Amino acid sequence: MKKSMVLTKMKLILHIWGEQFRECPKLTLYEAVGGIIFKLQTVLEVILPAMIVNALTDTVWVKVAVFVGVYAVLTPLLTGVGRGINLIREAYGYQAINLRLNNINKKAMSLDYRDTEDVEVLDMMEAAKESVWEFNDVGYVICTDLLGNVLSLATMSAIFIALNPWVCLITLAMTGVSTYAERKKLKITHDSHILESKAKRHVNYCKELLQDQKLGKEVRAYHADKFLLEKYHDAQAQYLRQIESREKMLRKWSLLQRGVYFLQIVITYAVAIIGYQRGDIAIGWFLMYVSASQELFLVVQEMFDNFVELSLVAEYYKDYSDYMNIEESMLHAENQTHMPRHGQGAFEFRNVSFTYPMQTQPAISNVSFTIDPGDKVAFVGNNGAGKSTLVKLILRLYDPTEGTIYFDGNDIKNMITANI
Amino acid sequence: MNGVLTDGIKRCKLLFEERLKGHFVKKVGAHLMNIEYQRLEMPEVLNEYQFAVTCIDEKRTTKIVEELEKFCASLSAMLGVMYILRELSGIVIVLLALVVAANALGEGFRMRHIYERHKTETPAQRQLLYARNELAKKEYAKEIRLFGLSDYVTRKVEFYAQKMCDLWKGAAIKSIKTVGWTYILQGIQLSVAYIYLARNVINGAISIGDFTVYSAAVTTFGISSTRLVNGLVSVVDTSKYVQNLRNFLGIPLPRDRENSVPEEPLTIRFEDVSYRYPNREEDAVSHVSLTIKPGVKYAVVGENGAGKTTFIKLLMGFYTPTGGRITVNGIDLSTIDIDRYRERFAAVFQDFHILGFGFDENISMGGDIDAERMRCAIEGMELEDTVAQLPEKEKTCMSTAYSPTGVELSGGQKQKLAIVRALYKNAPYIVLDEPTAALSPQSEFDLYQAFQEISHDKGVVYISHRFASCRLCDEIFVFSKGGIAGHGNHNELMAMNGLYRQLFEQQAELYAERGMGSVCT
Repeated sequence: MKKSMVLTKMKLILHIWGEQFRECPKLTLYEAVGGIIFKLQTVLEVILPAMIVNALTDTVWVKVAVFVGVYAVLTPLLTGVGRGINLIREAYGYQAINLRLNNINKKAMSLDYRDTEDVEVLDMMEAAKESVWEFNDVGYVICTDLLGNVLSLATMSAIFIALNPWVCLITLAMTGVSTYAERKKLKITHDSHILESKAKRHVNYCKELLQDQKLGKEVRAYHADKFLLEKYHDAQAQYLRQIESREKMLRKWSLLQRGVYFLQIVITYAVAIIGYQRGDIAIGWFLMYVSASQELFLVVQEMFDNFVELSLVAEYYKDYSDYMNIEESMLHAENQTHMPRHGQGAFEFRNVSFTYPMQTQPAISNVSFTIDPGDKVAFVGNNGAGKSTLVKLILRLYDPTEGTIYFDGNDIKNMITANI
Repeated sequence: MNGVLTDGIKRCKLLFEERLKGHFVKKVGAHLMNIEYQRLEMPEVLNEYQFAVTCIDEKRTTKIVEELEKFCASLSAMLGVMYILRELSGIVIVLLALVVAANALGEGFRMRHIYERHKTETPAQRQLLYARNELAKKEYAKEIRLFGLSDYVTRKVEFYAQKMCDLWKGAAIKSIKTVGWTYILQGIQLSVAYIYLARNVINGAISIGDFTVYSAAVTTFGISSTRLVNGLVSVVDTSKYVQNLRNFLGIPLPRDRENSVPEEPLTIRFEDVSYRYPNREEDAVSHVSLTIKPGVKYAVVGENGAGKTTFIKLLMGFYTPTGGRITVNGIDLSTIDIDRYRERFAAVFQDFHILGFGFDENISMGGDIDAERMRCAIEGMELEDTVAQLPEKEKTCMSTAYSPTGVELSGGQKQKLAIVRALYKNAPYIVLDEPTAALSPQSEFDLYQAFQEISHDKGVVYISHRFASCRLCDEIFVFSKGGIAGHGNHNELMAMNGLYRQLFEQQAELYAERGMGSVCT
């Protein structure tokens, strides 16, 4: 069961990435190049200083000059190029995000009208918008991070297999413990997220009130300044409390991670120093050895983070696709026909009743009437009598829950809404 | 150890940043609510205010703290490194100084490009956000569907989005072109430093161990100097934004006034009062003289733009007259403590707001709740049934956005709630600016009746377009083109045969059966 779940998730992630690649191929290109450059820099920083030191001990002047030249020139160059590519990647990333947000927008405008007043649907739209910023990183995670990490992992592993496979194993074991702690931390963050969003929503609402200059008259007329400030203060205090409690829970796992890292460094240095004392390894390799082990630890941790991010991508994408897949029953009915251009037909309500989605009492009940072409009709009545509801039904913002509305003898449910 | 400390610091920083942001939100908000109302209508003030809000939202204030932190860290790193390198020859030191200079130049350029990009992108971004966020809101949902505006809006959004992307790309390319060469320079300088060190090792002047230390020091120096320069440049850059914040907070608060509010009952007199909005050619209110006596019911009528709302704002001290003066029991209003003065008024404006908080909080607007008084006010406007049906009675929140159990009242119910708010305040004067616009004729009639009972000892100033209310008032002011065209009670004004009669008959005609003559008696 778990295996098939992982497989479907992988397929989904590849599908998401594939979509992004099709929409913005240049983005993927820059992500990949950026990732390779960044990790290349790291690899060089592990290998080259060691080689410089070795060349110095061998006092081969030419070798030293070459290595130093390569190192000293290549490093800043790679930094510069990497930064430049990063800037361009940001621009394309922004473009990709805009594409998704525009899709959400289009969807918001084409939903059935009744969904625009449904609080759940509104929440779904907000979740979808937020999720776009998260899952759009899928390309970045795969191309920049993961690709670079694989490159680094291969190199570091090669170094270790040549030097001392045992330390490699110990390092990997330590990383496993650290990864487990990371999983725990993620769960804590995820669980507290809901409470925190609620608190944050209150904070933002109160902040918007404080920043709304249109409240100016009322605030002064009712001395409401202290009231609004207090509300904001309380909302913020609540939010900070949530964050603090979350951080407290995370603390012990972070300590564990730091402890494991420390242990790993101690072991690595111990083995390295013993090896050097015994004369098994040269001073240059000593340097490389130590930095390679640290890099290995970090790389495996980063790769775990990458997998977690990818799995989150799948979840965030669900928020997006759930919203985009909301059914639009009103726009796409079968047998939709065009209405006559300048409607010469009569409007007829036949036994029409309508209840709003969240209500129990009908807003209008068993209403029948006809409006002939050229008639000017007025609807009058007290508040809440159902006048606006009638108008909304005529404009087909809602469909009646009972009865039928006819235009020129045709049920308006079969008309293309745009023509109405 | 380092890791543990870092974690701890990160945690503290997170909380500190939120608190700092909250501090500024409160400061700016409080300032906005306390400056003179007149300033809120000046575009310059609103612009500065927008900048201040953007500054806080983009966390510029916390950014300065961050940059200072980086600056200190880099400075200490650099000092440490310089101590290590002190024994080396001057050449290395000079080279390193050149590295710092090259960095500074490069960073300066980069920051300038980003600031410029920011300036050009802010209007474009505002357009994009408006097209995308505002128009997707449910307030526009009906029109978009009825007029088939979906494609039009989509095209607008795509246009602005493309504009933004092009801006970003352009800025990125420009940045690479100008900054690229600093990296090459840096590389050359660093390689010279390394080769110098290497030669010394080979000559035997320094050991391998020293070489390792020195080369690490050189690298660290390079990184720290970059960070230091970045930090400085960033601080300068951020302070440009923060200056906007300071400009807004620098707007002066109204000065304390010498006189306290006179003892009640208050008689308010307008003595040849005029008011002209800034940058306008004509007075909105022109040479108006009238008296508001305590306990009297006044109506203010007139066509749109005649100056009625401006008159109300002058009465409540939101504006200071540009000509003439307003006196309260003989004392000039501009010398009276305006906050205490406004406590004598309870107002419902045309653009009132119902806040997302509880039903009872919307009535009390903060402060302790007098349950008996609130109950009276609610019953006065016949809202007790509505309250009884709310899921949490009077504690129900008035916005679904604020609370999942929140409720959105209908337009008419909201208007009644706003009037309950005014009634609860129990002030000697009540000002109502078109209180019945959203109410049905039945509700309007009920309101006037309820008002008669509740306000028997209070002074009331109504603005209304429905002349039915005029007949209930003791005195009517007829405004026309900023001035008073007539005053008196209904019968006196009808007898005068002037503007009042004309307007009244126009409205009454619409209710009369065809064929009947004038409706007035």
